[in-house]
Amino acid sequence: MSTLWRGLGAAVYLTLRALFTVARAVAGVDRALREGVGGAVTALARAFAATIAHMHRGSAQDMTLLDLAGLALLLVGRLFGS
Amino acid sequence: MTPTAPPAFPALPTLPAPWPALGTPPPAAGDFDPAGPLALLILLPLVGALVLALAPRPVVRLATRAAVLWTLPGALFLLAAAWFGGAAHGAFAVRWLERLPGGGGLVLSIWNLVPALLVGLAAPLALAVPEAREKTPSRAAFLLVLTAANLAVILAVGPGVAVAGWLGGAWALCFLLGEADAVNAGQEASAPFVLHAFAGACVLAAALAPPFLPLLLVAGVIRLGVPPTHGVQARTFALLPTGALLLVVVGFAVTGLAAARDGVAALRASGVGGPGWGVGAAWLGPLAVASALAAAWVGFVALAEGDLKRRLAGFASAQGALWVTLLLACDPTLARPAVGAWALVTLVTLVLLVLAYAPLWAFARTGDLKAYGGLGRVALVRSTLLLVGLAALVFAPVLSARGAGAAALVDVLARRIPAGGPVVLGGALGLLAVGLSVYRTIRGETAMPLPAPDLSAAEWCVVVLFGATLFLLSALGPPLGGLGSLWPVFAAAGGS
Amino acid sequence: MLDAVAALLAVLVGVAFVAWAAALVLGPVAPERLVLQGLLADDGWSRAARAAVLLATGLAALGLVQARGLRRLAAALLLALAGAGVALAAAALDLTLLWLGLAVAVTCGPLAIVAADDRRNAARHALSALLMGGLATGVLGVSFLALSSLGNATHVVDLGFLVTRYEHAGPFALTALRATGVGVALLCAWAPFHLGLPELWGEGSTPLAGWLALAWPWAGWSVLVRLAGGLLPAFGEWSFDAAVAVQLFLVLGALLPAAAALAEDRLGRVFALLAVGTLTELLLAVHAHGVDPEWIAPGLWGYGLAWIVGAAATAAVRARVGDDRLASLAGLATRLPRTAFAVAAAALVWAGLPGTFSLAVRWALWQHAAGATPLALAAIVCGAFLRLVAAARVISVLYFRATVRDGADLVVPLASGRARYGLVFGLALLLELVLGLGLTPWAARLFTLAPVLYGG
Repeated sequence: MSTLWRGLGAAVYLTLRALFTVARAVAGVDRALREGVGGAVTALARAFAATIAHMHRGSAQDMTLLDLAGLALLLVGRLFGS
Repeated sequence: MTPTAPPAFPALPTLPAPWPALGTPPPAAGDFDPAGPLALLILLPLVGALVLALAPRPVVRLATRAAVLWTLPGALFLLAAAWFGGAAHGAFAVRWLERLPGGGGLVLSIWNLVPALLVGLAAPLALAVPEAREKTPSRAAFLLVLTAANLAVILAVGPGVAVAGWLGGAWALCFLLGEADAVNAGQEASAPFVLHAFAGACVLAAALAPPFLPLLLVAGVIRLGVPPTHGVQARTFALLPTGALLLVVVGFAVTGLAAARDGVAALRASGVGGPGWGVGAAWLGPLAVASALAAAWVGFVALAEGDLKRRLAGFASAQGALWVTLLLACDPTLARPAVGAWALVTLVTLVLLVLAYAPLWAFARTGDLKAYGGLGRVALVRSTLLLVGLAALVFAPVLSARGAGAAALVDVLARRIPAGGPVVLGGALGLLAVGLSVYRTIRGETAMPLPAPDLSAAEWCVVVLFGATLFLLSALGPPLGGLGSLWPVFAAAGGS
Repeated sequence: MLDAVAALLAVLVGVAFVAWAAALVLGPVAPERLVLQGLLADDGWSRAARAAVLLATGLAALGLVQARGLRRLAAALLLALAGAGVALAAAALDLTLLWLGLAVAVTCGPLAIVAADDRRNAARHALSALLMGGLATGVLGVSFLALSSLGNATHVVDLGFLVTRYEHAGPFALTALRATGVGVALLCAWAPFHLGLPELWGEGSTPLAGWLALAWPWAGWSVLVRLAGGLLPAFGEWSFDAAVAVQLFLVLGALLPAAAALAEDRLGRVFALLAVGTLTELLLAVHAHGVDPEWIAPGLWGYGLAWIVGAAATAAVRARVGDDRLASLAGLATRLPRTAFAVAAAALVWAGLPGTFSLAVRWALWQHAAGATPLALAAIVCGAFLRLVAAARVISVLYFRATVRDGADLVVPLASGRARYGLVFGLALLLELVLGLGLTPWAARLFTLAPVLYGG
């Protein structure tokens, strides 16, 4: 009987050790994925926002000239296209 | 003449839900009363938060200590409503409808009584529980805001109040994390806020366009911390003070699970002449497999954690993924009672576990498991409470709704679908993580040098009151709602 | 002595305009009528526009405290003239009067900037405003000329029937209509024609920038409301879908300004970008055959109230801290809790604060229009999400960051200055809440202000 309990104890111990080994490996991959993918997504979002903000940085005169150029392109395209 | 047999379940009440009700027509405008006790349930904590924000310096400490008083009327009202429904007139007698100035409405009915009661009872506990750092007025204020936000989601009639509640919860979480992360300039608050704001945006999309109701599943998954959002959940649990942790565990789980349930129902209804994308129902199988694998994944991650609160977060994420898998993989007549009842037992037990651990966290000021041990030598009652809690978590699938949870798991395994093995593994690993933590806390030669490790008088009062409340509320009697489940079990008969 | 009298007159002009605006909103509703032999319409839309512009002009005149004496009076009178131009455009049913009103508004507004603000930047802002306004009125002038030549009429109602008389002129007329859209976009801050506005609305003198931000959108939307109302028969003939035509503006306007606000480093510019995003949502009121003025007018009022809340908070910050760079506002909640609360409240109002009028009208518009196309829903939801995150960024700077150690000392303002900003902020926020919760019998008046004569 005591052999059975000792055997059971050893089996539980070995199972737990195996589980913890797998768990540590999974946690390592999880950390790498979170830092890698999460970091990449965050960096991409920040870069996108910074680019859009940069588009708004010029003086209002420059923006107005850009608007004029865009409008001219729009009208020329529309007239030739229609 | 043979008397006709009574119907197995009474006719379903026509009561509103936050979403275009699948099969439940909304009540007529004349059924709504002017704003009253339900509005006060949400307004009182908000007024309390405002008082804390504006209180002058001489009285701010007193106001902070008294913050719990703003949640007591709501808790008492909800208890009275539950008693009224259970003892006096039957479950369908609980039917309050109130319209709010400026639009929107609130409802308290058998559909949402139990979730509201859970949050309403957890709120005073969250404000009274011992903390590692001194309680500040801003923390107390945002705990009140979090309470109001969670109750708004649960009690909402129309989508407007529900969306406001989701986003209010995200804001409250942001401030609580920012205050907790002051040394780091609140940088840890931004990722959880963005994630929960995204969940709120999904709820907004679902609220505005019925074909997007399946997005509620995404929102629910985020609130439950199902992977890939488990990392943020773990960081959140590790940072939050104990009271906020309690409210987040209960409130976010309850609202997230309801959203997941509704999202799955919408997905199931699509492609059969119902709202949603034409091939939505075909996603159920693959999503069930994905959430089962997620449960297994986060179970392993939780096991590898060395921080107690992060292990709890991992367990909560694994349970959330397990419940979502059952909702996706099983028939609604089996899944809803199983998940609702299992979640109810789990959440009540988690409240007890957090209360039991609160003084230890307040003393140790760290979640590192190495700081805990030897409790069994110096605090027998507290250790017993931890063991009872652990046993309740382990046997929750069997304890609840006459074993409906276990029946659902057996159903998933018996059908030999790919989701079966991983979901059971994930649930088991989550339980193992919590179990080993409790074991470590109780065992050990060197006990934590707590001045008064066992239950204090206040804690005894809480435990006794809690136990008495649970005993009294059990008189509501499943299967007609009450303590049988987070949601009325008879919803299973309606299939929606 | 002369300066004192002139300043007093400017204040009186401001008070009179605010009182007039209140009377227009709260007073009895007269029946709609045509004036000047049908060239002008005194209907709900023109009254709503008049009241809004009067309020903006009155508040701007009261807020011009940096200008001294005669300059202040001159600026107030120029703003009044510009406001009269917007009011004229809002009431005009004739293209000539419509254009004239716009021309007066876009000329006198920048002149008021130069008159009131003698800082170096003011001249640059005035020139920018003049350029933008000039471009808008130039484009509108050319397109009005084209449309009136085709229809041989300048009255919008006549134009609606006569512009389609030449079968092959349809594409030319539609090009003129699209050019009109561009002109309106410049006035109403529709992306991508909004790029200069963060500077104009966010960096200039607060009362003057506020006037531009409030009055020009009313002018632009008036063009659309009147033209769409008159051209309704022509839209059917051309199978022109106005909602599709403005879809690109809607999507870009929902996303670009809010995304830019995530990386802006000045509070005024952040609020300007959030305002542009909110203003773009009014495009949801454009449907296939025209526009719904009864959605646009309350939307513009809600936007206006939110702008006033934000402007008062920004002005208070500039007065106390010296500048509005976010780096200087780090940890403001510990140094100036009430000012920080005001900024946080303003940010939340732009993101959408439950119980406020501005959110109530936006929510009603979302519910009305979200089901129309997936694109509209995506614009609403993504825009709302990005604005939420932008507001959270501002709030986290105020509340979670530590104070800058070597920052400039706080300016101790006069009690009158503190009272002024607090009063305007408090009243505007109170009005938002009172209207949003419908707590008074006249709270619904703003929703019923805008029925128009002809179309809509």
